[in-house]
Amino acid sequence: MARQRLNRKELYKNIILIFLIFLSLILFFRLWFGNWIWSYNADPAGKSFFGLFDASSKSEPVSAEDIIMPKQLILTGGGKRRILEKGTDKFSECYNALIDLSGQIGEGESKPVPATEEEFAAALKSFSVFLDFGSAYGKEFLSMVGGDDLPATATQYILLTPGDRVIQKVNVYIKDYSTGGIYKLVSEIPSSALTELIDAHISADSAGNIPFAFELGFDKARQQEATEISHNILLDSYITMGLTDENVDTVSVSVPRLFAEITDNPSASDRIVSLFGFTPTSTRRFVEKDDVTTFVNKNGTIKFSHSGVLEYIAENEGVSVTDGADGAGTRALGNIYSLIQNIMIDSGIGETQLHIASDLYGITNRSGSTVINIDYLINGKPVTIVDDGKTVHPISITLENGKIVSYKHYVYSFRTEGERVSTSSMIKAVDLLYSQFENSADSVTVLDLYKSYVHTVGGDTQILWCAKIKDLSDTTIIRE
Amino acid sequence: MHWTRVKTILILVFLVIDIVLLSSIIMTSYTAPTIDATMIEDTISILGRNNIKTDKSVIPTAIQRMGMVELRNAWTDNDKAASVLTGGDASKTVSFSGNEFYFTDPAPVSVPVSKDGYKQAFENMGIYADSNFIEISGSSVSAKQSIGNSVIFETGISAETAENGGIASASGYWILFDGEGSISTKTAAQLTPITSVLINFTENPYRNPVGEEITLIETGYSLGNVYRDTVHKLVSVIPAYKISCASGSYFMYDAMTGDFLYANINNEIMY
Repeated sequence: MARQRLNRKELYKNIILIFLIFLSLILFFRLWFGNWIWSYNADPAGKSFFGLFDASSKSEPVSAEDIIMPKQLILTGGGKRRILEKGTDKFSECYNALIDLSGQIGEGESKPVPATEEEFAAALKSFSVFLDFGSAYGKEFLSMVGGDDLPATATQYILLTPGDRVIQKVNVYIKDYSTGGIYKLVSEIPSSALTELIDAHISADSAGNIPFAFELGFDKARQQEATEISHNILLDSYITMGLTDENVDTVSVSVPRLFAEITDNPSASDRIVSLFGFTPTSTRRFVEKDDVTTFVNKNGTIKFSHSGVLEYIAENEGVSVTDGADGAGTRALGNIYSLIQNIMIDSGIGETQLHIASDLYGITNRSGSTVINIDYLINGKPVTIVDDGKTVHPISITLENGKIVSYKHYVYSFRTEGERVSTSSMIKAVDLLYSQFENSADSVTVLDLYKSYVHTVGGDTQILWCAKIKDLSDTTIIRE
Repeated sequence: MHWTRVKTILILVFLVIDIVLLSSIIMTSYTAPTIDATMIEDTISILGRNNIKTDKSVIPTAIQRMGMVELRNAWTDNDKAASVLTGGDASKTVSFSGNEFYFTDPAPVSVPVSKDGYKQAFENMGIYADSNFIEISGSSVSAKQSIGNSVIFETGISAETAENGGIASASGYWILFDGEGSISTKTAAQLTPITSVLINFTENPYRNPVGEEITLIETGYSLGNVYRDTVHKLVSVIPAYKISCASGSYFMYDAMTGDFLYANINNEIMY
């Protein structure tokens, strides 16, 4: 009995001793680290770079290869032509197969040699895969086609076509964006591999008649003809001219709830402002009369509006997206993509398909500022925003010396509604464009012509033809 | 030595350690640390070398713990602000200019001429002032807006009284509270010592380089250098040091980071 009492006493002693040891450890850490944890001086500006790589960031760093993708692949073969748009399953399948082959592009002894426009045009009309990036990319982004070894400084178009019957290797043509010159490189890819890839992706029902603008002569200036069509409008040679109508899915657009409840949901907004290097505990918050919430600290301001617009303006240096080392351009782009995707995730939307709408070369070397416009890509089609009567890109970023100094993002989620609407053919769109510019005194050069989901802020979303016109910063919407 | 005895000794040792640690934490939490005299002497010496005079009695030695505060403003639109200020009495008038209001009452209710009397009179206008921050000077009454024991430097009202002591007119900028949840304080932390801020002050581009005399240093809250002149539904105020000079100029510093916010030189805001 006495022994049992003794054992119980020892047990109590053990419990008390363990409790006191734990308590002393907790108190010690509280005393030693407490003030450091809560000190305002621990941050505040120093987090500007690390904000992008904060542990709470959910998007993995994005590699340039995952971002720099063609806007569309145009496959030609056997008298048929097929367009695969980025964001569709068929595109991914075909593009991944091309990536697998691309490792053999720079492996041979062959050096790029100049080629003629006629040779390029002939190759386009034969068995070929035409990669249209939609914008010009600097060679630092184009590791797929040899990167630094490329003679061109930037390119928008790359063409792969089976070589002659003797060598039986794929020819790669690269069109220099700056000079318009064309370079040809004989790769180590067997011609048969490319032919098989084209055959596999051109189905029996592929359209036989999707001519390029140059095949119809729309890229050359002509005299006024007897028809009423004015030919002071030139199309880029490689715009494809679909001759038939197409059915397209309709989408609805919604603003994440976060933007309507920003004052009641500080944790989500704190996560977003942290991405721009703001420390929530020392960032002031103001809600204006029109419900725009503004976060202010010495690094700048971030505004959230109820219409889903997130806007950052740097006060001092801005948010660094590169450390200036080799490959700074690709690193900057990867960090920008992570930033965008983290905002989409923290807004409750999730990762979204994006497409770079700006020419992208020498972004870290250019003096002055560089604007990078990025579009959402829904069902393979870019989204255009109409805000206060002006067409804008969903995401617009201004970089100065490798730092983001302004950032404007229409944070929207998109839902395919299950309905399909008929859209007019490209030929009809070209006619409408001619009408729109018929009184224009100057010649108009259309760089791109594409269908876009056009969303009016506070209004509806329509699928419309849009044009990218040389020397015009705004997207031109073609309306009937 | 028996193991059981060792345990007893260890329990006593850890008990003493825990008591010491706990009292240490309580002391640091409830006692503001102070700046030592040598530091203040050195700071005055550096200020002197930069043509800035001050007396050591002007420099607060306690380093306070304060945090940013968010205030929900019932002044969401001028109509709502007017209804708060007049209490729905149509005979009273209110006009607005920026974030300032001008209030008149042609028949003010009599008020006892005391701080508590005016505190009640202001409360009837939706203005909750602490009687410690109400000043009466002849027929004029002024009030500063406060959070706890600290004033907000940019807000405040001044009023003129009628013969019966009632408030005949009032003007100023006041963040109107709208019941519970109007004030929320973020985590408090130890402020930057004023000596560090004074060292920064020697490099302030707006101070008179020929000579400046610091006459008063106050700790309170500031709206900062932005959005001072517009009304917001929600306003953040940050702990701040206001350094006032004999010339009439004053300089506002963020007391959390030590950063310069703005200066008021001859009634002109510079930042």
